[in-house]
Amino acid sequence: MNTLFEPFAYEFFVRGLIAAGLVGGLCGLIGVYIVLRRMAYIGHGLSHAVFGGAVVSYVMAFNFYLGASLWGFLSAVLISLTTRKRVIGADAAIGIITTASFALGVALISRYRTFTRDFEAALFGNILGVSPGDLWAITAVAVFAAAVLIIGYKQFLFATFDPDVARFYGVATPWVDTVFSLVLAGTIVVSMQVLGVTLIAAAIVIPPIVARLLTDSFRTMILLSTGTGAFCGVSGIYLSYFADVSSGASVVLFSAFIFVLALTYSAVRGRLGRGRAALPGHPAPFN
Amino acid sequence: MLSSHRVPPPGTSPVIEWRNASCGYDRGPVIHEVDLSLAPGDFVALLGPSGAGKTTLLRSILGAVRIYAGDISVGGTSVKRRRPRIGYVPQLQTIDWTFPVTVEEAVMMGCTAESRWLPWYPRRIRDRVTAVLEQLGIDHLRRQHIGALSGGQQQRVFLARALVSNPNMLLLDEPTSSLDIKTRDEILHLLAALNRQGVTIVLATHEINAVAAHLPHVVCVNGGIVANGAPADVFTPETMRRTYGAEMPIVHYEGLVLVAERPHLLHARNPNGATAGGQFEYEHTV
Repeated sequence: MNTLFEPFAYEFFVRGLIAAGLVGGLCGLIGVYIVLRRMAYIGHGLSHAVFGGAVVSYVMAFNFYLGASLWGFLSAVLISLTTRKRVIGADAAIGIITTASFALGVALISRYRTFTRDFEAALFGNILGVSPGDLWAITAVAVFAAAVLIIGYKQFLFATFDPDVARFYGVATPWVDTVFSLVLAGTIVVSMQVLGVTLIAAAIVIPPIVARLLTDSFRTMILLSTGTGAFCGVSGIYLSYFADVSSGASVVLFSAFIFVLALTYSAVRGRLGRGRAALPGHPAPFN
Repeated sequence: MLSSHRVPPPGTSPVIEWRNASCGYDRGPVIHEVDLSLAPGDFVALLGPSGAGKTTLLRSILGAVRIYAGDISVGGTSVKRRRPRIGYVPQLQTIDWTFPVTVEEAVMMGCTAESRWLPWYPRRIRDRVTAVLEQLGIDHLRRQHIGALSGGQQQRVFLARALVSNPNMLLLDEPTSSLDIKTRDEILHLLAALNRQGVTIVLATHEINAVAAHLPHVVCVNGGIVANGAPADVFTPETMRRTYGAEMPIVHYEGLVLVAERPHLLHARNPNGATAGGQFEYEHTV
């Protein structure tokens, strides 16, 4: 029994557990909007773009959080502007902008080899590296994101559901998109230390899909996705202690396990048809 | 015909007015030099083939397209200066039916601008939503997911979203496409009832006989305004040729003016045996 409580004796572990819970919940919350806008690829792409910004900030001795967030925000806005031109598809715009940014980061690392080890944690996540300062940054972004999405709940909902029509009903969709890009960039930056650049996308996508399999209501989906993300974050980190694997991989693998459970539950309840239709790329038949 | 048209008193100012307006999108204008006025209480069909500019004309009222020349005003104010608040119902095919919203949540979106910074809807809005859902006969579906409804119910949901903010003008883009005959009839009569209550209605449609022929006012569109007036005045072989680029005879049947959309079939049945040279250059009465 004592073995189960053993990790809680370490301060770094408790700090990491809180960080993982906050990051998981935050990714779950943001992920609802990402998945419903059918932009799952942007989470993947933007995390790579932020990596480039993080390296540039390091090289220029600039504050990591501010530099990487600004870089991620500018990348998100650039993707949004490129996509609106309609000549270039969203997937192509994300592919070009984010991989170029990631490549810049890799180029700088290969040029200044002294900090290769630090960025291994950024790529794959390292719970040992979560400092009290990181925890404060995660808390600040989580509070900011929650406040923005609660206050602007109705506008974010309409802009996500029907962005073209929302503006006819008085929703300032360009502002909604810009604020969302800011929240998304902040989320990815503070998630890097816990989950790693390569695994953030999964933490953003899996909880909302699990929630979508279980509910048809937007409000319930928000609550379920946030809760699932936080639960997977805490559980994944806890299990990583015993399995001795990287924190990001453990969180994502546990999330995937929860997804399989939700899918099975959905199938057993006879909801598989509707659940499948709910996933991006599978439109429901027109009645 | 739907006897719903409220004849405006003489001298009434137009509620929507295009003055030599050319508008479209980034790649250039889609409709050219439009001069058109709609009166308060009008019930209008914008009719034309695919790509004719019906949706562009409809969206120009909302200030949602680029105006290259001229001006468009709603209630006397240019849409360039202020985007008007009008109930808008998009094509059902553009809706994401897998999106996790219930009927009630979807209808409430129509009031987003009224309580912008509150995460919940005030009591007065909830009451209004209930009233609109009851008016449209879908109150019992309020907790249902939008994807679980029939085509007619889905159309009513988005009609309810447009009506919940009490607009005096309603714009609908292809409101009856993909609907069966009975549901289409129900939706048209519902719109006629709203029009009788004073709501100005403008709808875009490609259905000549099923929709446009039943409305009091038709505007034929094909890159600009081809004709404008009552179906009896607008539906002529010449207008149809200029609108659709095809020969389409006109048929008078029980007081309705209809357009033969399968001219060759009608020609084969023509007891007079029209000559090859001018086979559809006549109006013919059944």
